[in-house]
Amino acid sequence: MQCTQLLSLGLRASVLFSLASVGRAAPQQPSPETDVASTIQMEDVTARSGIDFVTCSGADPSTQILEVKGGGVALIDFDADGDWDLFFPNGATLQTPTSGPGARLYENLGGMRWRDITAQSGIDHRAWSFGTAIGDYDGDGRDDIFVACFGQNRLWRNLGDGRFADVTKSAGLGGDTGWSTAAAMADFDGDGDLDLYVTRYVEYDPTKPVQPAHLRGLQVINGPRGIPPLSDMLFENLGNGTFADRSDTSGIRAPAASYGLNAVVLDLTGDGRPDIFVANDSRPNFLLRNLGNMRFEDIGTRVGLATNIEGLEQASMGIAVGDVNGDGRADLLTTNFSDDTNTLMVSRADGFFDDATARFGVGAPSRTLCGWAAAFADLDHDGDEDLFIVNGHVYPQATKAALNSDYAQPLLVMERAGARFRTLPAAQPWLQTPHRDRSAVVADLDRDGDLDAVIVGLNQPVRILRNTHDTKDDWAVIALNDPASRGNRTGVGARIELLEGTNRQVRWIVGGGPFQSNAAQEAHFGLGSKAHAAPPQVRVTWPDGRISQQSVERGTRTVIAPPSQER
Amino acid sequence: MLRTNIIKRMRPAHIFAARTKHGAAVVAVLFLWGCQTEGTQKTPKNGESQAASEPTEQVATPKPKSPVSANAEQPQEMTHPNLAVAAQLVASGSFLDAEIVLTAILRDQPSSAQAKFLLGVVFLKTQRAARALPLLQASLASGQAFSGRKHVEHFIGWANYQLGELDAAKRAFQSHVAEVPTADDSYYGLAVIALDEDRVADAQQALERALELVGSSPRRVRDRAKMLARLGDIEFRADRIEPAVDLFEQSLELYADHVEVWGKLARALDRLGRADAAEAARVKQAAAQARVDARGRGEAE
Repeated sequence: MQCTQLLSLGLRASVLFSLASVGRAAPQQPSPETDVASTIQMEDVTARSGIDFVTCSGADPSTQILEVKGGGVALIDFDADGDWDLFFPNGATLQTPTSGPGARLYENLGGMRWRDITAQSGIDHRAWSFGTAIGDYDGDGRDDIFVACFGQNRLWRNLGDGRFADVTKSAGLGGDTGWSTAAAMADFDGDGDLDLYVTRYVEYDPTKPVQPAHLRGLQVINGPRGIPPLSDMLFENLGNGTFADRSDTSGIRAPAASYGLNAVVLDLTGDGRPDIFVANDSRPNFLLRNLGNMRFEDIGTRVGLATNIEGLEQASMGIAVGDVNGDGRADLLTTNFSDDTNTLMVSRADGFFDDATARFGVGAPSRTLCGWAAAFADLDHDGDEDLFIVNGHVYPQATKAALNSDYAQPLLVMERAGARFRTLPAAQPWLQTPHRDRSAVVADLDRDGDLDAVIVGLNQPVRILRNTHDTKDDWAVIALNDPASRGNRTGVGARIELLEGTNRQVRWIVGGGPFQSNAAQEAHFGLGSKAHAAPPQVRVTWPDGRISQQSVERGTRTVIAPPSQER
Repeated sequence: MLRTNIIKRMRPAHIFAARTKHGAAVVAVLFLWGCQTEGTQKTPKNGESQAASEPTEQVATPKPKSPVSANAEQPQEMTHPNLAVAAQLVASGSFLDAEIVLTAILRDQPSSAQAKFLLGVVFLKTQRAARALPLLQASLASGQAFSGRKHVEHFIGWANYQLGELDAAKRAFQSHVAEVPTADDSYYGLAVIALDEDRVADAQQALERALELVGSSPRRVRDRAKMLARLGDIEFRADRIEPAVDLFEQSLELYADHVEVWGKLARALDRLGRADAAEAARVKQAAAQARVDARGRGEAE
């Protein structure tokens, strides 16, 4: 059913693909809303997945802010066998914040089954952990694991034999850096290796519990307002297995320290360099424009990304990257707190971003939800991206009656229907049941061509959702592999454009992910049921500006390598 | 200390009125409720900040003995001596106190539609729409005549809006303007929903109707300001940035504490390349926010 092709392209590219035609391709014109019947179907296969892991995030119910963020999840192919293994950082407790039950690594066995190989992997990781980033930091061709922790962050080096070694200190990442929440690896300085951005949250001492706050008659967990924020951190990969802290010299700290919760990295300014979008809690979001040479400036406010259309900062957590209006530029959706809406920022040709939340219908359905991980994903392969969001309140006391929002909340899956998104009716069990979800990744976990999901909640079992679309030839997956890279093998920062007929779709390989997680570093395209005479054409813009072009077959996963040093 | 704050906010006349029928019992309720309440609840910053702005007449103090909107075919409203006090508290924005009094009234008279209506308004005004909605609906369903009955749909509209239920909100606002054709804020509500549903022409039409109805009365400048700002949103959405700036500035001339409009103005000025003016607008936005926060520290919004 699947065909993996590894093609290094050179001259063939120009024959297979016409740049000019793609450049002029009409943006995708979604069909009228009424024409779209929902075909998004998933099923919870956790029970037979081999993953029987209950996350730990302090006390249940939570009493302190440290307990409410939960841990992330990473997609990693640690054994380079072409499927997604799973890494869960996991938390701890206020009493023993550095010695929790430990992170977990699961090997993908195929067929939506995994096995716990934590013990044999050598990953004895028990610090209270939040986000995670995956990347080949040392350029040895293998995925390594960075974990954003409370206390000292950790870097786990993949030794290539199924084992990992803690290289935090030797890599220059040692020391207590407070509360780190999320991380993203990308080649910020264009030297081919993966640098590292880490978001941080608040100053917090578990031995000094923060007194509760009061909200609408309820005694609730306090923060982050009123607690000193921590500024984010930036590390340059020196190419010799070590990192240098560039936080103070890079300009990322020019904006006031904020409550950083998540980040994604991709070129949002069109200058070919990877920028950093940071989701901040209760403060304006950052767009750290990459000026080159590890220098950044925050232009979030100037371009309209820092606040919503009301000019108000939000409590941003999840970030989804997609192209909702088919103009080939990356748009951003952030998830936010309850009594607020998720926010969709659509990029413009002039560099500004428009708050298009209302226009695309993604606001009202999110108003009673507290949103976390979010991802654009074509779940039904109809050629446009749907929206997958996990939710759950931070206050155990939250109820509809008291706060318009319950503690446990269902998923919000929105199907692209014409020009807008519409909420998928909660008619299926996987959609109905409320949870205290935090993180999630969406990826083709069983290599059947459709997008499945892994969901991580607060003190609850990890859930695996299998997409039952199961159609053979209405999709294409593009993965990148630059074997000559010094570390950015999977092309973080690349832009992948697919053209079939008049349907043009664009995806990005981003650093960071939906929330405290590592987005799938491959591009999935739904193609619709109607095949065209000509096969889909793909154009890859690599992070260094090189271009690869080729045709791909429907129903296949294609690995594309860059052309030799063409630019 | 909490008790003290509550009692301080209760003006003597209110306490006296609360005592008139149920005396110590009501005071005891006030006392106990005060123990559970920590001063002012800060409302979330990003809701529809004018969402629960009421039409000019609907929270008028009821006349306990002779309902103004009594209908011969409807059951007469149940009266309670403290309803007038409660209505005054609602009208003055003393929502926490009003909640206490109204809760007590409903304990005495569980079927009082007037009390349910007023308590529904209180919950709506304090960002508890899910709690407000069933009370508002029950007040209507009671069939009782009570002061403000004809405006209940307006509040049902905003409650549904806060809960993300746009269809229900739309139906309620439409019902309200059908019954009260001069209900400018329900036209405003319809406009906000139309914007959410990307029906820009409908939004424009509803806003123009709302502006026409609200007129130029000095008492309504805040409402006029918010409507002008929404018209500015429409211009901005259509990439007509200069007209949007004009409308935002007109709005702020009328009401300078509309925090969000400063933000909108700044965004529009950035779009025009007027970075310095945008920054100045953001400074004014922060100042407006500080003023609003200072006002909010005394009593729940």
